[in-house]
This record gives sequence, C-alpha cells and structure tokens, in this order.
Amino acid sequence: MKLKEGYMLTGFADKYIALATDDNADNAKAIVTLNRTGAFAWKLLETEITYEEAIGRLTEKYDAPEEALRADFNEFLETLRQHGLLDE
Amino acid sequence: MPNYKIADIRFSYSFGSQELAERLLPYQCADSFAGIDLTLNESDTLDQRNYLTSGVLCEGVALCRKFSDRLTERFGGVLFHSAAVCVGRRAFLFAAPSGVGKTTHLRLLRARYGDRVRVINGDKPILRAVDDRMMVYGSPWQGKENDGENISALLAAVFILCRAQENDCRRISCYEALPFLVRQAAMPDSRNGKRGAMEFLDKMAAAADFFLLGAI
Repeated sequence: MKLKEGYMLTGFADKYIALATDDNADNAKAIVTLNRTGAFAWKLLETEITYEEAIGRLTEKYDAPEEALRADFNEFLETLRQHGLLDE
Repeated sequence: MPNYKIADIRFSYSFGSQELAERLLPYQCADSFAGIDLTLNESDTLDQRNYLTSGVLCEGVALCRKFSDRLTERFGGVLFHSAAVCVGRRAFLFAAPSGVGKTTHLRLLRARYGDRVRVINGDKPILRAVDDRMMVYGSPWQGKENDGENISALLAAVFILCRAQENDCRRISCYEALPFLVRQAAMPDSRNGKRGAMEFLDKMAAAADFFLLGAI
C-alpha cells in the first residue's frame, strides 16, 4: 500500500498536516491533521510498503505493545481511506 | 520601465493598460534599484484569457497572480483574500468567500469607529513575516469597491465570517481556523510554492488570534 501522489506533509503549530499539492487531486480539499506518530506513519506510507512492514517499523520506533500499535495504525489507515488518500 | 514597491518588495513593470497603471500609481517609487522583473509573458496571461474577456482585467489578474507567486516563493508572504483594517498600529482581517459580508463589515466598522479605523485593503491584502513580525500591507488589488491605501500594520487577529442563525463571535484554535486559512491564502501552483505558503500559515498561527464571527 502507498499514499496517493499529490499530497504533502508539513508542520503546523504543534501538529502536522497533510494537504493536496494538486488542485485536481481526487480529494483536493482534504486536510488531515496528524500528531507526531501519525506523521511518522504518513512518511512510511509515502513509499510502497506492506502492512506488516509498516507494523515492524512502528514497533522499532515506539516503545508500546504491538497490539496497541496495530489498533492505532488500523485507525490511521481507516482515516486515510475515508479521505481517499490510500492506494491499496 | 517604472519601478514599484508593494509590501516592501520592489519590482519593475511596463503596463499595457493605462487603467492598471493608474491603479498602481500609489505604489510607484523613485528608487533606481529595479528589483524583480514581473513582465508578463504569453503563458502568464493565457490561463486568464480562458475566462476573462476584458484586457484590463486579464492583465490585472495575471500580474496579481505573478506577484503573488513570487511573494510566496521568495519573500515569505501570501496574498490573503480578506478585508484588512487597522486601528492604530494593529491590523485585523475579516476573511470570507465573496458575497458573505466583508464589505458590509467594513461599512459597519466605519460607522462604529469613524476615523479610528482605516481600510488597508478591501479584498486582497498582503501578509509578510518581516523580522519575526507579521505585517499586513495594502496592495493595488482592492476588489470591486476599490477600497484601501498603501499602508501597513501589525497583524493582531483574523475574524472568519460566516452566516449564522444569530450574531455571535467566539475564539477558535488555529487548527479550527486552518481550513479557512488554506482556502483564503493564494496558493502557487508549484509544490515548493505551496510548501512556502504552508510555512507562512504556520507562522501566522503563532502570531495571530482567530475568531469565528457569525452574522445573521
């Protein structure tokens, strides 16, 4: 899976936001607000990666139970799907 | 070629339209330093011709777009669709899509505060971060009312106008304001330009207070 092309991640106040860089993108008006962990997951998905590879990278990075990371990552992926930002 | 200075950015430009030249007259400067060259070429005006028939409008819109792109890409600023007023040294922006009530609010502010309030620009003021200060400048693109003057002030607050069941004003977070800020800021087409605009909005979030102003 991979994020759709034409979006960028940028810092805004204490968070990160992702928004379209192409006015003709499928969901050009979508603005996704992310925390630091969300921004890390976003960067993982900027290049093609499998679900299990992404979970592996997250468990390397964060000192948290794998089940909790899986639940959070699943929720993050669902948000991306709702905004039409994910190619699977 | 005459030289101009808008938001402390110098540029040289030779007009095709006399009407546009007169509109830029308050921004003409005597400096010999030419600054950036904003001479329009075919590709700058081509897009505008698709939906505008007036040559004056076409040139004005194309010049506005070119200046706005350079402003964001090179000078740490954005052209922000709003009505900008100042009271003393502090500037206040009233942001809304066309037709929601910017002009009406300017009229009400003048009626309430008289000469204490000055209109910096009624449609497209320029915002720039200068020495860690968020400044609001006048521009020649003053909307259909042609309301504004060549002055500047320090940004204090942004009021986002909306239609509401009753008159109301509440403070909102920069995150709540963000979709409106993105919509009102002139975004360059280039990816680097968009990144520059977002970096600017990040500075704006730190410098200003944001309010949602609902009016019947």
